[in-house]
Amino acid sequence: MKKILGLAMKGICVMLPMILIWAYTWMNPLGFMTDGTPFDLWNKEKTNTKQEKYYEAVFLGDSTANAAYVPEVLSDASINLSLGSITPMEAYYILQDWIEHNEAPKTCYISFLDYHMKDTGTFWIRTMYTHRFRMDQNLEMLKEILKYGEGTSIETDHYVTDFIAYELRLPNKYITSLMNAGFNQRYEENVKARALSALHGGRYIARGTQEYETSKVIKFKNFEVHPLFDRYYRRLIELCMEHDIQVRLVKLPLPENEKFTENYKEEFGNYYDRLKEDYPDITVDWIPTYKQEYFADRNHVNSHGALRFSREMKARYPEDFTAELTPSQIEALNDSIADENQPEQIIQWASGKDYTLFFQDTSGKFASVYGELLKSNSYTAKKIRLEKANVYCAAATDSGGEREILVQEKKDKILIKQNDQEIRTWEKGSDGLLKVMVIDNYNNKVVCEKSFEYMGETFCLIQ
Amino acid sequence: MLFNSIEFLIFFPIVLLIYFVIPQKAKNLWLLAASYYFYMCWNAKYIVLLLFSTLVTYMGGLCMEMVKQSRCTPAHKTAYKKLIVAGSFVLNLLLLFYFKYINFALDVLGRLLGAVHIEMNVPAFDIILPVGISFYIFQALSYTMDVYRDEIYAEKNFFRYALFVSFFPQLVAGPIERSKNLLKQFSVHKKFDAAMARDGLLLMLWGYFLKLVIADRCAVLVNTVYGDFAAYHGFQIITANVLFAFQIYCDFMGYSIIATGAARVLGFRLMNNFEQPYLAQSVKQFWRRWHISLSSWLRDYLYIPLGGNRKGRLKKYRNLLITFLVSGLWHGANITFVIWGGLHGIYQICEELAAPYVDRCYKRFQIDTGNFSWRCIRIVKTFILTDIAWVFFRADTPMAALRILKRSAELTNSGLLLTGGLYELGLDEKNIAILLIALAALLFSSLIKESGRDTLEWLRRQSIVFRFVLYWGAVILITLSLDITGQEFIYFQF
Repeated sequence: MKKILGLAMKGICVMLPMILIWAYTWMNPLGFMTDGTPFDLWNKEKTNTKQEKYYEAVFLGDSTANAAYVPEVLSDASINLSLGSITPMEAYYILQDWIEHNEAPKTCYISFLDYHMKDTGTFWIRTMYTHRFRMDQNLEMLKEILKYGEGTSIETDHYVTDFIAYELRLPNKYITSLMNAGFNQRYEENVKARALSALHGGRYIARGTQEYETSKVIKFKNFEVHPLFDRYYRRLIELCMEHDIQVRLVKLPLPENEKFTENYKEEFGNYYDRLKEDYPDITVDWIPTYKQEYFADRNHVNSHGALRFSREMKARYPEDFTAELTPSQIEALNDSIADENQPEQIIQWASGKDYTLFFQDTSGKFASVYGELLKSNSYTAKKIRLEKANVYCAAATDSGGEREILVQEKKDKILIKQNDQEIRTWEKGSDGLLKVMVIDNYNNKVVCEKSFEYMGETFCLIQ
Repeated sequence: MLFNSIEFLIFFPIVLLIYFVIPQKAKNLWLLAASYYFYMCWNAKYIVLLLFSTLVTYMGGLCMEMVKQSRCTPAHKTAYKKLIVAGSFVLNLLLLFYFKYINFALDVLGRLLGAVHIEMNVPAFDIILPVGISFYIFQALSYTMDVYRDEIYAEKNFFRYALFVSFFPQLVAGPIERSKNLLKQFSVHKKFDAAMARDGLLLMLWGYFLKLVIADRCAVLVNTVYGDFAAYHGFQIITANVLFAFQIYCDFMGYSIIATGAARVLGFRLMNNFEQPYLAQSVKQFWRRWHISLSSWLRDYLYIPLGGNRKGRLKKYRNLLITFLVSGLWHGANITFVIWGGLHGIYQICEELAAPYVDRCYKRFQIDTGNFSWRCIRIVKTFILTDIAWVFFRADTPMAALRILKRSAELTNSGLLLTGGLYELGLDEKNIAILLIALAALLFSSLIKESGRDTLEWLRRQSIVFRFVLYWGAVILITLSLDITGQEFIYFQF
């Protein structure tokens, strides 16, 4: 026995480097892991803990849903629990987690790309890789995959060993990330990404203004749902029903170059008609296509598209969303506004909230380009004529309209004062420019200052 | 079940633990059950083939023993024994032929008939090649021959014999054990031996190092180049060819060493399958060092029965060629393997024919053939010859092999190593560095063995610090190689 123990000890000593690497993968996943890990972990943490406030609306779906639903625009009592690459299978467990730890929401918006209703290859490399779910949930998923998953790419011959390897976080599944990342090299980046995801209520995909460009026409000829995902789609709906959650199935917009054949529309209609027959309380919405400029790529709306879509959904179902704004929501809004590259988008982000927008126009084009937009977004605008420029003060809410605003020119600076706020100085812009300053009146702070140049029929950001 | 799989990492400790806990009488039965389970993990149905081969050779052995003890005349005894051996060989080789060679034979026949404008429309059989069939059938047949030659007594205990044929460490990829060595070890009482277990575990670590760090890493580059060889030339192909030589060596030797190590932990000693083959100074020597269990099998049960070198020069060369063609065919049902075997046969015939002239040259120019540089030249020469043959082994068709060789002669990219072009072949800088370190370790260990020392013994004599530097280095490199693994052992397909 002594000899056996001695040998075992020696064996452990020899294997020490591997054991240490293994321990590291358990202890510091954010230090080296990639592929949505921070977002999955945020999602896991959020759904597995009791939240201080009540969330009325939950958004579930894949990356396209994550990109499209903007909680700071929709409602502070909403949360985007969508995750990149997931299918209705994973979404079911996300909602299950949420309901286990929190009061059930009133509404659940569910959106998936067709691709994720048909097949997915990410169960192993994403769901298992990031340890988003508990072992019992993973086991149940695996059982269902083996039963219904024939023909999907997640069905594999090595499922037992892969399952063990992922559950035990064996180095063979993590060493690539570890080698690419080095020890702890990704920690800061991942922590930052997680914080940003938290700030935006779970939204993390395509949070930018890049635009998708293509001339290729893509035709959708068939609409298919794999039995595995149909089963989970229905389970998800039933889970909502059990908890009196209003289900809204939303087919998200795609770029204009993506066309749907009659056959597709018929198959899509038939499938959702059957669902509606089986679950009469659900609503089904198919949002038509948007222009390409609203997309970051062929599937995901960019920030402009997300803003447009979220405003549309809010207008369509106002009863699902509260109008009240909270400090965290304003923080997120400020971040989105600060990221913007178009004055019209800034106008739309701030619309209906207590922001004051100052436009210093030396191009002489402002009124013709944005006058109508300000009106349609219910801004109260005031024009102040200075020596070389016009300054337009636009208040996004009625309360802002009552605000006394003072704008003065002083040498090469412009002084701005609102009511009892401090005087802010603003550099004068050179000829032909449009300068924008956004003031968040909730926190009494400048959100951003940006300069745009008139090019053709629009203003472009000067980097 | 692969040695480099999680299943094996779970399976082996369980087998080990139970093996040393259960009573002596049950040990062989437990190992037999574990071995059959090991085989069935791949394909449960094909266990029937293993059982069939075991039964045929077991019965053959018993029958021969009965004949030996009968009152027949010696001439009759020999005739009966020959009949039994023939029966055992025919049944086993038929099995092997059907599962491994039938489609190849039909293809060859179709081509031959096609050449004389006769159309043959026989569809190919839908057969999965049973893992390790060539190994266990050859092992079982060696037992038949050994009993026939009165080198051993027939084994009466069926379970013990079945374990000899199916012993899991060497079941699917050898070494092809001899009854004289392994069978008798199953009769010996076994108890846990810490020293043997330690040596076995160290051998396993070294085996994994060879497989995971060297072979699988080489495979990435080799597969890249061979997958689209028309896109590469010169030193790119030469690099791939050289690395394939190391890939197959480390892949196969890695398996053999893990097998030897696993058996050693259980208290069994398997034969050595490799003796630094790339340090051989002639092709003849190469075959005394490469896949020793197969080459000695072919020598003992094919080359010598054919007459060996006893019936004149011409017949010797004929026998040599037949032996190597069979060796090629044993590796796979493809003409490329036959060419590979044939090339090795031709190399050896040429070496022998040229030997007197070469010796005369040495004498005339007073060359000391024993000195280091001359040995190196011969080692390099042998390596080049074997590496050319490996091209046929690795390529899909003989034509592809010839085109690869042709493209490798287009030496217009000699700056490959300096310009970083090497890193465009599937392995980045980091992986090339790891590979070079690992190859240096392989060379180091080969030189220790070549000097006549036992590597494990040499290791034991080193200080604990140095030993742990080596162990940890190996473990770290293995861990860093886990992402490029998952490749089956090449010799599984044979």
